[in-house]
Amino acid sequence: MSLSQSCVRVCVGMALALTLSASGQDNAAPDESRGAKQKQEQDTAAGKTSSSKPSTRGDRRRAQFQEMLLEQSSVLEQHWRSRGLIFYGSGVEFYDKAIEQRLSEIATPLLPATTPPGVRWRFAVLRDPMPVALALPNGMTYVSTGLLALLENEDQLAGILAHELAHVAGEDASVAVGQQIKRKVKRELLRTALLWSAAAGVPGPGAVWLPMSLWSDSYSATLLDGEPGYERETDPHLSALDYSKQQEQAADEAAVAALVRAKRDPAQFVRAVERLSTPVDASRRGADAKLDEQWQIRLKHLRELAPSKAGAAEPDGRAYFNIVEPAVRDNFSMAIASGAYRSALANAQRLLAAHPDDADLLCLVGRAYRALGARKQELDAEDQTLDARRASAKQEAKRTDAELTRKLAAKDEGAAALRANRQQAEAALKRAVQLDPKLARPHFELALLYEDGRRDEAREEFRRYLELNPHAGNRGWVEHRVAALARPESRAEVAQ
Amino acid sequence: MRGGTVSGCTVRRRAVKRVVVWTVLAALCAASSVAGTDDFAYLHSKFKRGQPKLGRMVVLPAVVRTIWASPLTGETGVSKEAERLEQSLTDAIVHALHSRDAAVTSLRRGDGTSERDREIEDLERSFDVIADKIERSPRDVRNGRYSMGDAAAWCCDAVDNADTLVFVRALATVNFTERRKKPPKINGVVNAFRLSVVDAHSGVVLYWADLGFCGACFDDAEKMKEQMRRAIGLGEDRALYFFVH
Repeated sequence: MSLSQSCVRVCVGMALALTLSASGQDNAAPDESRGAKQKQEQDTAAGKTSSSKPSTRGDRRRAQFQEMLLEQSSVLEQHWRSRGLIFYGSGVEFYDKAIEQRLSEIATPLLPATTPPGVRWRFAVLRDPMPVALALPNGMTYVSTGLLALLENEDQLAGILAHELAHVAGEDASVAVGQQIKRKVKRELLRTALLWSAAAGVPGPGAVWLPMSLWSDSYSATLLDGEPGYERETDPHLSALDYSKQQEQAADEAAVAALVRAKRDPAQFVRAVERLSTPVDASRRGADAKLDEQWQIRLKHLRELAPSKAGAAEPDGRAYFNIVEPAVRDNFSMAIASGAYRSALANAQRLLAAHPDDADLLCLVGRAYRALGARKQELDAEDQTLDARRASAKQEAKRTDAELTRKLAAKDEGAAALRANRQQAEAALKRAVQLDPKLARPHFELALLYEDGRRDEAREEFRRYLELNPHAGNRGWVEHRVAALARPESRAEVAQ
Repeated sequence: MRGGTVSGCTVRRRAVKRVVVWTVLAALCAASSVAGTDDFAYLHSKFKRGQPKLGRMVVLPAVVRTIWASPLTGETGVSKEAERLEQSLTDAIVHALHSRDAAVTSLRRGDGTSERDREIEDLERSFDVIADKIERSPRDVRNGRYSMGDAAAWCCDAVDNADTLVFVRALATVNFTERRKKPPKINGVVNAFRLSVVDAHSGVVLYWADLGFCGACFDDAEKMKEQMRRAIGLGEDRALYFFVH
């Protein structure tokens, strides 16, 4: 970045700050009239809303940010509805009326007494194997399929929803945007001052700052994308939802109060946060010391707010699971596609526990074990340390699945895990064949399992699969694979 | 006088030195630029050895990350423009491949409610996982290091009978020339796009290209289509040639 660019940026920053403060004063009346309009709409749509008018300059500015965020929220909402992306590289909404209805029923007693203008409470599920929940400033609240699959009962889900609702009710996003802009302007001013001092030959921090500034310009771009917990292609809208530690704690406090009011068990909310903070797949959550610390601080605060009661009865998780089961099933394939194999296995086992004699579910279990390769089925305490997670994330980023399996299998522990996983996969699939001999799917899974080393058996299983399912959608794919297995060379490398 | 001679000699030497340094620098620049143009696309070595071509190609819906660089909120996604551009980009690629007599079909993105849409989304997800790894070392595409495994096997109806799958990712920026007007006038450019061809049967990545692609205006659909066609044409001459000839 050159000096002139830096100057321009600061000028723009200052002009923005001035414009904001000026427009905050000038546009107060239109804002209020717009707020009144929104209030009228709100009254018709959702009932009560708050009627507080911005009085101070700070309040007016915050109202302006809130208005901007409401506008952006609707854009983002459409974005997710139609084409999915970009949060955690994830997908479109998961449409299931029963789940959405139940989410709404759970959330209704948790809603704050007053609703901010422009907010309409709605609930939806996002197709995403990462366990996340977020609420847009316009009241659209999302939970991911990964989160639904991770939680154990409705009280846990209620806690998560109450937390998100508290962020919306507190208009936390507008505060966060204000803070971000302030930080940006300050940073630009400081950077330019130091750059000028360095350019003018003034000794001191400027001389150090000059190369740092040049470097940090490119670094800041990666920081924007690489916030802990965010994937590279995170939608920039969501930076507004990057709340401070104080905001998170305040939302937790409000959530616990709402849970008590709604006669839900707040200790289950603590348990939900504990589950969220414990990685199932080592590399899938950011191996970030700061993030870990934030989780610990939050958990400590929550345990003080809602201490667990000894001997308290656990809420029944069956009703909850019956509702979210379609989302858990859907989450399985996404988890496999994303490389979150342990999560996929956990999903499949949970489904199987609910329906022990379901041959289809046994196929999922078999597929999950096969996908695990030489990985351990569960992470032990040693694997959950920060260093171990960092190492695992590095390996997963660098190596392909096949390479990682080879590397892990070269060690005794990995070889044992590979053997065990393959045996478990085979056992599950053979049981599926026993339970439903006319089901084609287990034969397909068995064929894929046997492809490495047991080629004749693989061909036989593929043949059985096509025999049982002559109109299979992937018939062409299977025939091609069978032809490749018949060739003397190893697995079909390149289809010809 | 003597000093003058010495001084003259020094000046000449310095001039020669300067010429040599500049020549070396120019040669290095030229070499790097040549290497750059050669290396933007990587093709599986089997195709370079003249093995048979692949027939049926399925182009998956392009994913375009469209950004409006706002001074207030920073980068902001612009979904409607992205959707428009995605469709145009997919069409342009299909058109370019058709013109080479390749058997190409494209998949349309649905409303996300059907099983088929979810299957396609999972396939795209599998590709994105492997794409992150390829970015670290794209040269290894040549030796067939990267594979999506059996991902295509689960996407039965959508991609059955396909020999290869084509994934398109692009980055575009837009400017609102008249802000706050509805509909706003948009002036935008596609900065770059990535084209990747994957073997549908084995999941092996066969082709990977990062194509620089500037100047495609969005507010003029015809102009954009023509510019895209030309840009894809360049890529085609270099590598897609192997698939369709």
